Amino acid sequence: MNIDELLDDLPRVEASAAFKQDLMDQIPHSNIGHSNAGIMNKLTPIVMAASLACGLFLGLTDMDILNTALGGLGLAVDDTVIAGEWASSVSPYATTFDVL
Amino acid sequence: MAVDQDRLDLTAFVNGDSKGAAKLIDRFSSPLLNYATHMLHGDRARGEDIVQDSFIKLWNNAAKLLAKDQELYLRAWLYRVVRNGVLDEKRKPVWDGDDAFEMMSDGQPSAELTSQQKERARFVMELVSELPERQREAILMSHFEAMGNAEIGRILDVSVEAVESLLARARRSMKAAAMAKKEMI
Repeated sequence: MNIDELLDDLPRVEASAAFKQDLMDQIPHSNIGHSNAGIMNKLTPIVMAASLACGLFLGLTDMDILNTALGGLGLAVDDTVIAGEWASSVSPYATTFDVL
Repeated sequence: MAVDQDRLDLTAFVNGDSKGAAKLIDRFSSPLLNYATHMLHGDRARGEDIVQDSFIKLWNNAAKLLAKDQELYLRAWLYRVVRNGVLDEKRKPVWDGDDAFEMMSDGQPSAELTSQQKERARFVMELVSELPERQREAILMSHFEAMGNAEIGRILDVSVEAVESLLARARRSMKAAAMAKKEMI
């Protein structure tokens, strides 16, 4: 008696299309599109540096624009405001350089 | 070759490409389900639960797996995870005497088989089911997946010689049981 021939009669269980779809549905969403996040991570410092340079340039002439630029960079707006208030309390004529 | 492809697909998944995950599911879901179901005496529903949990573990550990080993033995890793799931599942009460063949076939393939084929399938299932657990694992991996003894050893955490011995004993036991059953018939 050949056992391997006998084993050929053992039914093979196949995953159904619905089961495979279930498995796909269970993939954590955080993983899909992760590569885009990776690109963003690489780009962020460049974007930040460019925005900061732009903000500094504009901020030399207008405090509101500087605050907007810093807020746009994702820096804490509150901190900027506090820093601005502190600078104002030190001198009513505080310049952009005082704030920075 | 397959090992390299596993790494490529898992890397694609980690980088956010769902096609990598789809390829891994296509490649491994059926063999893992087949193994789990046979280890659970034909209980396909519980086998599916275990395979689902195993894939979730894979997604959660994918980056770590890629970083850990230069050579990624993904198939062996998946079988080990499924095997642990089966062992946990076996601690719960199992098999209430339902027709294992019908439970396993999910209603679909069994309808296409002749009664003679069904009878033979039941006969072999019974033989495999009666094997001691390790022998059953070894014979399923060896026969269905054509795994080499080294890979089986990696999954079962035993030496190649031990796998050879398990397979030889499994074949002997099946042969003896088959002859005894035929004599009874």
